[in-house]
Amino acid sequence: MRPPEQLLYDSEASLRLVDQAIEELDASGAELDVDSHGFLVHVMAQPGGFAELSRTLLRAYAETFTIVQRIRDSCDMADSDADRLQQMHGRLREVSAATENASNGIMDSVNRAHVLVERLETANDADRKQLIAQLKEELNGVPTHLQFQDLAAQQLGSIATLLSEMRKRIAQIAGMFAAPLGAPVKVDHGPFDHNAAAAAGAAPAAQAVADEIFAVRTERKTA
Amino acid sequence: MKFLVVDDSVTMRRIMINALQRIGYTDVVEAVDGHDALTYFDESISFIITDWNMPKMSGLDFARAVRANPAGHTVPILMVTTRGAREDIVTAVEAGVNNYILKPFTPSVLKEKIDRCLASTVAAA
Repeated sequence: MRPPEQLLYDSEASLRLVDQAIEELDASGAELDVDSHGFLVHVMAQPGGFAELSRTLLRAYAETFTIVQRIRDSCDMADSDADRLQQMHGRLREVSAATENASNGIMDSVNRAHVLVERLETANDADRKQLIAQLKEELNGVPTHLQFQDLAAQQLGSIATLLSEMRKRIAQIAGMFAAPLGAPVKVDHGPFDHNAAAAAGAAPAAQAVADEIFAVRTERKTA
Repeated sequence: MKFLVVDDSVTMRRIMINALQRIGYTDVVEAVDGHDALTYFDESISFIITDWNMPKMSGLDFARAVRANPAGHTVPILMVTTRGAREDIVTAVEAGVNNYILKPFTPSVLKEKIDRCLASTVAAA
C-alpha cells in the first residue's frame, strides 16, 4: 500500500490531468463544427487522443477507488469499536450497580444498628445480651459489602484494556490518512477477570457448581 | 493455627482478616500475590486463603507451587475468587485447591468452607 501522502499527491495530479484534458476539449470544441466527424478528428489530433484521456480517467478512478476503500476500511474499524463501547458501557453499569448495592447494604446495616442501639438503651439485662449479639452481627456484616471494591477494580481494569485496544484502532485509522497519533498510552493490563461483575451477579449459582464439584472430589477421595 | 491470606486487593485482605478474627483465627500473615506469598510459606502455615487473579504470580500458580513443595502437600488451600466458570473451578481442583468461594462472600460462608477444608484434611490424615 502506498503512503497516504503519495496517494493524495497522485490522485490530485490525475484529477488535474483529467481537468486539463476536459478543458482542452471544451476550448477546442467551440471551434469545431457540429459535425461529429470533425470533433473526433480534433480529439485524435490531440497528444495521445482518446487513449490518453482514457488512461488519465482510469488512473484517476483507481486513485479515487483506493481512497474510498480506505474510508470504508476505517468505517469498518470504527464499527468494530462500537461493540467495545457497548462492553465498556455494560461494565460501567455493573460498577455503578455494585457501588449502589454496597451503599444500600451499608446504609441498611447502619439503620438496623441504630434501632438495636435505641433498644439497648431501654433494654433490661435479660434482653441486653441478645441485642448486643445482634448488634455485633450487624457490624460484622458491614465489611462484606465492601467487597464491591475488588469487583469494581477488576471491571475498571477491563475497561482500561478495552480503551487501549480502541486507541490502537484509532491510531491505525489515523495512520491510513497520514495523521499519526502521539505516543501510545501505557496501560496496566492485568490481572483481572473480564467477567467479574457477571460472576458477582451469578455468584450463588457458580458457588453451587463449585460446591458440587468439590463434593464429588471429596467423595472420591474418601471412597 | 496460622493463616496465610493472599490477595492483591488491600480491601479484600482486610475483609478476610476481619472475618477470620471474628471466627476466632487471629494468627494471620498476609501477602500481595503468589510470589510474595511463597516467601512467607513454610511449615508454620496451617491454612492458605488465596485469590486467583493477582500480579506476578496468580493464585493458581501459587497453589501449584505449594503442592510441589514437600511442606505444602497437605496444607488446606481455599480459593476466593470472582472466576465462576466450571472449567476454572475444575482447573483449581486440578491445581490442588481444597475448596472454592465465589466473591462476594459472607463470613458465614468463609467459616463453613474453612471448617469443611479442615474436616477433610483430618479425614485424609
